[in-house]
Amino acid sequence: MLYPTLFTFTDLQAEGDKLKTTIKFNAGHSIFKGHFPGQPVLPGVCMMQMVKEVTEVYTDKKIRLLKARELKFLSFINPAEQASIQMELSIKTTDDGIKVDARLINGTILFFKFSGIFIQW
Amino acid sequence: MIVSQDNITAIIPQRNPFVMIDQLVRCDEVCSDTTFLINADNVLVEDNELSEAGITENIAQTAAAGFGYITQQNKKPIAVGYIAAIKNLEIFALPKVGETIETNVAITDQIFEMTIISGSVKCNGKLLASCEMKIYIKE
Repeated sequence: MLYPTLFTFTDLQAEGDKLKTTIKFNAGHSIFKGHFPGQPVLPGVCMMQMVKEVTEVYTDKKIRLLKARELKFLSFINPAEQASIQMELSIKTTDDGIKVDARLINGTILFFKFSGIFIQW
Repeated sequence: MIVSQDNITAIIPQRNPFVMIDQLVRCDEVCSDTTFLINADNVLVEDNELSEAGITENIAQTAAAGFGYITQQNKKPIAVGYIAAIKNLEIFALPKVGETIETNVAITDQIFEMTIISGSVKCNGKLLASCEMKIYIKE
């Protein structure tokens, strides 16, 4: 779990299958010491994990990522510079599982685009 | 084995607690193979299993070890690489604490600073995960 040691999220707003939340990082987390020394950047795979953990809280289900067609990492997240960013999600239950499309943004900066299918675990 | 756990950080830029490979087993200009024992104190372990993030990072670092080993042979400094995109990620199962995973990465294309790789992770001969990645290497 990266929540709540690496990141926290507040102000969760839902409208239909669309969801928005404000993400804050803990720049002192040990992950940033190793990725990379003196050059802290949020690992891309942690963004993927954050989408999973927010979806778990919202759906109140334990889920596992089954497939992700495409994940794009478009801008670096330096935790000290990006104190607060937004996560937007679309969560749909389909025959294949829980389909989630998500992005991490701050104003006009797009950091991450996610499209994947989770299954309840 | 060509690079031991004690020397693995000589060929990858990641450091503890974010090192997600132990040994480089084989490597050439195209392919790299690593092993990784899942420890309980790993920052990407949850519910006694390496998370989806952990297994994906293991593929990325297997690619990094391949690039790093070749770079080291050519006596150049180790470059930092970032994942730019992941395609067709499939996760069939996750490894448990105490299990050792074996990961294979093959470079499928190189365009300027972007390297496209294909990776797969196995445990006891069973396929756990596979994906393609586009990795940006900052020279």
